[in-house]
Amino acid sequence: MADDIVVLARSRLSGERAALAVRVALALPLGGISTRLILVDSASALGLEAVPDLSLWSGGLDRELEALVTEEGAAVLVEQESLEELGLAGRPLRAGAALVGRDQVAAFCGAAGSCLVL
Amino acid sequence: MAPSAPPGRPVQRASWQWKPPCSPTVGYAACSQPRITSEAQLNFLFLLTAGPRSESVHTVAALVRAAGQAGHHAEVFLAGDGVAHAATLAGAVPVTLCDADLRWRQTDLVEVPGVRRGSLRDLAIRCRDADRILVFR
Repeated sequence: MADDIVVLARSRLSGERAALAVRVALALPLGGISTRLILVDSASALGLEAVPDLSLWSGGLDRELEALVTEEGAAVLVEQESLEELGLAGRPLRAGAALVGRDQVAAFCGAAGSCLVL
Repeated sequence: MAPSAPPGRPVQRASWQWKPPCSPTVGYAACSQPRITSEAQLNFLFLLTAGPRSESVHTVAALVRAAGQAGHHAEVFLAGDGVAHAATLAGAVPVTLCDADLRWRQTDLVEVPGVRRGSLRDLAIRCRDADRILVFR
């Protein structure tokens, strides 16, 4: 039985998958699961204060991400290396999001009961 | 020149020939039956988000079949583009799909017998109860 789950969002903002990862992360606490959303690769841009509005999906996630942090108390972590690869390393993060290194991402995934890569 | 047999003894022809463990007429699945164990029964949850243009649904179907043969319990949750596979998996395994994702894609909703329309809250409950969660995206 998984009591703590890491949702690893790594898809592009132009598609639905990154949004689906956020929705899943938002839903998991409803099942009593401690959730941690980690944004890597292209999805790391979702952790920025000003998210590039690339599609219907990426533009409408502010409310979900805010609810995830403030109402569900879930951790939202953004991988530093991913932001650097996208050239966005200097941008401010959204409230409640924290920057982590790639080794920490691996450690969080390894320590979790389950890791959902979406 | 063929070898000549000793007088009074017939020529012994080798009757053995190599046979592959899996002949081409037999599918791989038939050759790789899961080992039945009576140890722990696990609850598998398959989260399928891959759309129709992917072979993930076939992989999930095969894994569900294998899990059942090995005495495990399997369940499938369809989200995103994965809702397109409801009819394919119905009947073989308990299937729940995200109703919001289905409504986003289809205005003319058709009920599929054996498929439950739920929400991501159902996914959360199934994740809590699952021993292993496998995502196919």
